[in-house]
Amino acid sequence: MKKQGRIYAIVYSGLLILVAVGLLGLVNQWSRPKQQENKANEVRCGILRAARISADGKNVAEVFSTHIKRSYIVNYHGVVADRNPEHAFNACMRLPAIFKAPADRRKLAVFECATPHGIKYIVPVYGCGLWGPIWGYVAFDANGSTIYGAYFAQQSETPGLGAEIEKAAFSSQFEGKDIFSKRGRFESVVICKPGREPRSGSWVHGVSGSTVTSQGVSRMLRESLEPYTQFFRTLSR
Amino acid sequence: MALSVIAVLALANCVASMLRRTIPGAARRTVLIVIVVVLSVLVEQVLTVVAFEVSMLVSVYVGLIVANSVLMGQVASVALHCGPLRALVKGLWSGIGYGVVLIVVAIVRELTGSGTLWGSRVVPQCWYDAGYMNNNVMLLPPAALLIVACVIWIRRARRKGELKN
Repeated sequence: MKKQGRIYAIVYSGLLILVAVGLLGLVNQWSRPKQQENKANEVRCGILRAARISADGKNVAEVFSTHIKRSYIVNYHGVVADRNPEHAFNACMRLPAIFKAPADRRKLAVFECATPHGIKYIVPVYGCGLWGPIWGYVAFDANGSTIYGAYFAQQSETPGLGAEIEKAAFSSQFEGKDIFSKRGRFESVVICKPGREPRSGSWVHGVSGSTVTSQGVSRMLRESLEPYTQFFRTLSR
Repeated sequence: MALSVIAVLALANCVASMLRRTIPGAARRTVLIVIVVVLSVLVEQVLTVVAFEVSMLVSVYVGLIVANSVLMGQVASVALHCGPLRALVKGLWSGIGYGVVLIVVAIVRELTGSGTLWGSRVVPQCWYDAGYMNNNVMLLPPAALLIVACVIWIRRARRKGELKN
């Protein structure tokens, strides 16, 4: 076969791509279990951090099983739909797919976490920042309204600006904020600029220089927590 | 990220050099792209296994190595004209040089944009109290281009002096 011929080029390219696909497939098979384990640990870390419990990569599974007493999935009406803890955890492992579903048909995962301040209810949140997805976990007091702690994460926000939502300086502002008004209306927590605080409702200051990411967090909280409204109301009763 | 670039560039050079006598002229660019893409994905996969938190930060950029025309040009110009070992060494050195520039850019951006180095506070609080402010522009992508331009400028200015001597 001529090296400069068209058929040689096509056969060569085809063979190379086959070898490449095979190699990538093998590496993917080899790395998948460890990747899944790392991802699961990252989810566990996030849930624990929302409840103000720190755990490093090595002992996170142990700390998680110690503190998380129950986990289940509730429906839009606040009724427990699935008591299998694995299903609740798997929902957090694939947040993008879970949050694609309409709010009234979404699988709403809840984790009950034992902390020095009593049982806290942790729920996942997911939304869009400036450059890509943002997600996190919010822990609530037993009254179903007051935020005990929050943890946010991102993968592609601007370092030093939008990426600052990961820092404790931002997430600690949520502690003690209520998502329901005194009349029991769902209000979420609004992210605002300094000097533009709303007259009523809960608010925190956004990260300086990252208006779009801050708005994304605000929207994420509203849209992710709203389906839990009935569940939180049952807690407060 | 610097280590990822070094690994991809050195291995891409080596593999392309080994295949150089068989690569058809009509599909040369396609073959080089496939080699670099495969190696970039491999590095990304390895990162998710050995350093998951780092992979979460740099995975977007590792995938973009193939879009870097400087690296692709390096593979095309070096790997196809010398033996595998020499190509590997040249790839390593080029990767190290590229990595050094990345680190210089990162240090300047972090220092001027956040007042930190490796996440630790460097600029003292008294400077902020006296009115010093972090330069947020340095945290935006265009700032990296400005710094790279400065690095090239300094390098060329020094080289000009060498040439005169």
